[in-house]
Amino acid sequence: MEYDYGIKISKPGYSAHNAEKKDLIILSQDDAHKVLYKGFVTSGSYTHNLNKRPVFYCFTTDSTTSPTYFSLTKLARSSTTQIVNIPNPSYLVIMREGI
Amino acid sequence: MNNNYGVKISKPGVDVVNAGLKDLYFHSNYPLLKIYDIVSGSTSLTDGGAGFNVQVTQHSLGYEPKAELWAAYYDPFLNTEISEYELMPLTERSSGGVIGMFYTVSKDLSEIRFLGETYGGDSASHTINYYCVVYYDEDL
Repeated sequence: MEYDYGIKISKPGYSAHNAEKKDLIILSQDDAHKVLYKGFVTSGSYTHNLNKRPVFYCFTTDSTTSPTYFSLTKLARSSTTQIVNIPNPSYLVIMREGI
Repeated sequence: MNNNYGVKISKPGVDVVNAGLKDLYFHSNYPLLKIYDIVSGSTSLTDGGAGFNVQVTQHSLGYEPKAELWAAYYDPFLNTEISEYELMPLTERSSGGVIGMFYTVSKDLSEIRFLGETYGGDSASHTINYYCVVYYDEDL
């Protein structure tokens, strides 16, 4: 470990002392996604103002109140301030991580 | 919990003992997607040409990792460089069956490559920008 403190939790059957990172549930020294926003969008865009292009996923759906399906769409696009070209309605998930 | 041990962290106002998964910030029975690297770059593309095959990043994981890539690309149908970034891969064909855009992401034990080509546009050179997230998890 780079530091001699932190949290490691291994998957069942692995030792947290020597497990590869892929076999850990969590390792506090490595980044993992943190959700910035999740919810329905009906306006075609969402302003995140992260000043970077985030990891995001956009799912088209048929209703914001009683959805019967969610389908990952590649139509939505990211900039450093917004997600645009979002089909209406969609369910949008934006992570804080990006570049 | 499946086991008699572990860690759970609930959202404010929710009792961690009785909380459902949707009301938990963390549950140690469910692995997080741990980020190995986030990289960005660019490559050039000539519409109607041989396409590109660019190494996005190298890694030393020894297995094929899960990775996702977003790219700002040239759309030959609209003859436009898209300034925002879309989740890849992306394949589109015109109504006449001509390949318009074809992007794939290839991964192996030590590198991640990004392949792409376009036809039917302006036959000019374009810059393709991208960013890629690589995870520690295997791409099963």
